[in-house]
Amino acid sequence: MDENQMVKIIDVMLAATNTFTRANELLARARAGQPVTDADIDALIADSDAKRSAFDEAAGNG
Amino acid sequence: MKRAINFYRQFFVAMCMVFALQACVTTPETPREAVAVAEIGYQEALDTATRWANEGRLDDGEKRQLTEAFDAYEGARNTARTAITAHDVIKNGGTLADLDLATITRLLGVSQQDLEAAEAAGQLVQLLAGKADSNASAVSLALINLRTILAEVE
Repeated sequence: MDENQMVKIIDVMLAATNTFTRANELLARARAGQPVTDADIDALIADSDAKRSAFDEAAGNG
Repeated sequence: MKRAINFYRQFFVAMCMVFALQACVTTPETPREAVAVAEIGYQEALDTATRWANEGRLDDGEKRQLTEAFDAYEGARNTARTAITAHDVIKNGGTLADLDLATITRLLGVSQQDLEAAEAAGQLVQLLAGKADSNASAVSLALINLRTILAEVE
C-alpha cells in the first residue's frame, strides 16, 4: 500500500468521524424537541451545492 | 487497473465501517432525519474528495467515478425528498390533485435510475433506523405511491 492510499483511508475515517459527530448533534437536537424540518434540509443542501461546486472546480469538471 | 481495484476495495471497506458505525450509534427515526444524516455524510465526502483533487491524489478515472457517484447520490436524494413530500400528501388522504405543481414537475422528471437509487437509499434508511416498520419506511412507501402516480400519468 502506497502513501497515497494510506492518506485516503485515513481521510475516509476522519470523514466518518466528522459525519458521526455532526449527525449525533443533529439527532440529539431532534430528541430534545427540535425536529428536523424541510428548512433544515434546504440549508444543508445549499451548503452541499457550494461544496459540490468546489469539487467540480478542483476536479476540472466543465 | 489493479491499483484502481485495490483503491476502491479499500474505499468500500472503509465505507462499510462508516455504515456499521452509524448503524450502531446513529439512529434516525424519521425520513427527514435520515435525509439530513445522509446529507451530512455527503458533505464530508465532498470535502474529502475536493482535498484529494487539490492535492493531486486523484487520477482522471477516479475523478470521473467520484463525479458519477455524487451525481447518483444527488438524484437519489432529490427523489427521496420528492417521495417524502408526496407521501405526506397521500398519507393525509390527499391525491395527485393535491400535490403542488413543483412536486408534480419533479415527479415527472424522476428517472428509473433515480427511483432505483432512492429505493436503495430507502432500504439503507431502514437499516440505519434499525427497524423496518418504523417511520423510516415512509420513504419506501412513498416510492410505491410514486410509482403508482407515474403509471397513472403514463
